[in-house]
Amino acid sequence: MKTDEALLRAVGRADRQAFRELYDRHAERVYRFSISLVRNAHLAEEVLQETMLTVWKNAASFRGASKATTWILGIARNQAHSLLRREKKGERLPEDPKGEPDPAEAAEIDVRVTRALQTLSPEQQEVLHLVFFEEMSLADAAAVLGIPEGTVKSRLFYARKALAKELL
Amino acid sequence: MTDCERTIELLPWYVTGKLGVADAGAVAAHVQSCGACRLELAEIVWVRQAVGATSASMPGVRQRVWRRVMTRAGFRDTANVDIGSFLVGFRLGVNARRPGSPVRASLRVMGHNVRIVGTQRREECETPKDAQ
Ligand SMILES: [Zn+2]
Repeated sequence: MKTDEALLRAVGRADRQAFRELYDRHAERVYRFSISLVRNAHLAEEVLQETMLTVWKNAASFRGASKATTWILGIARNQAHSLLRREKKGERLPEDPKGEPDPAEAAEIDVRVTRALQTLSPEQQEVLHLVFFEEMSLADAAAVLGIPEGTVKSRLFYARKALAKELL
Repeated sequence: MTDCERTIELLPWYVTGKLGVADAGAVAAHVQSCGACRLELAEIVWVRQAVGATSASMPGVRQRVWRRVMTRAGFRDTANVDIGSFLVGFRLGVNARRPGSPVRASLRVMGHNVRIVGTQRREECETPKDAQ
């Protein structure tokens, strides 16, 4: 099996089969990360779509300095944050999911925890997701977030304290 | 920085098993002898479970978004692309299951839905993989 990095280089040469395989490997990860940030299934789909298009267009610029996973999640993060910024400025509103069930509800999740997470800032939510759900190392989480490792540590500390305060 | 501060910083990665041997050993030794840090550890385990419990599944999302990505990337124009993604999808579908178990897949090929169900199609299914 090809490594993610080899696939990404193939995508950089416009190999469409490689792109499909890369998509299949990472779509779920990108979607889950996005929904942890935008808290809306419809917007998370949009983030996934824009992320994968960016991967397709920019794969040739992947130099292998970081892992493929952190590179892709870094793109997803930028997409999610710019979408959140546009939402905040009122430039666009979340579209109605047109009766499609919200996966976040379909999966029988703990409503209390979801509400508590919603009280956190996007920066706090993403660090919790990367470290506790993706189980990323300190170095990888710092690479995705584009911040020093020390900042990851302190941001995670305040995020988990805030979440615990909401829930306990 | 005190031992407690150092430990508390590293505890999240101790819980997820992402520390090196030396750091993990130091954290474990400190937690053994420090009640306050044991409390922190318990809280982190609990927060981790809470975060994991809210993670959404993505029914139907994968294919729906893939179709939109394909369109936006301009893949629809060429017929051989459909064959390409058909082969990849095919192979993944088969590989996802143990040998001998039923193969189930529904694929869109050249505008037609093709359904593959049952073990009797296995050899046929694997041909594209071996041929590559
Ligand atoms: Zn201590």
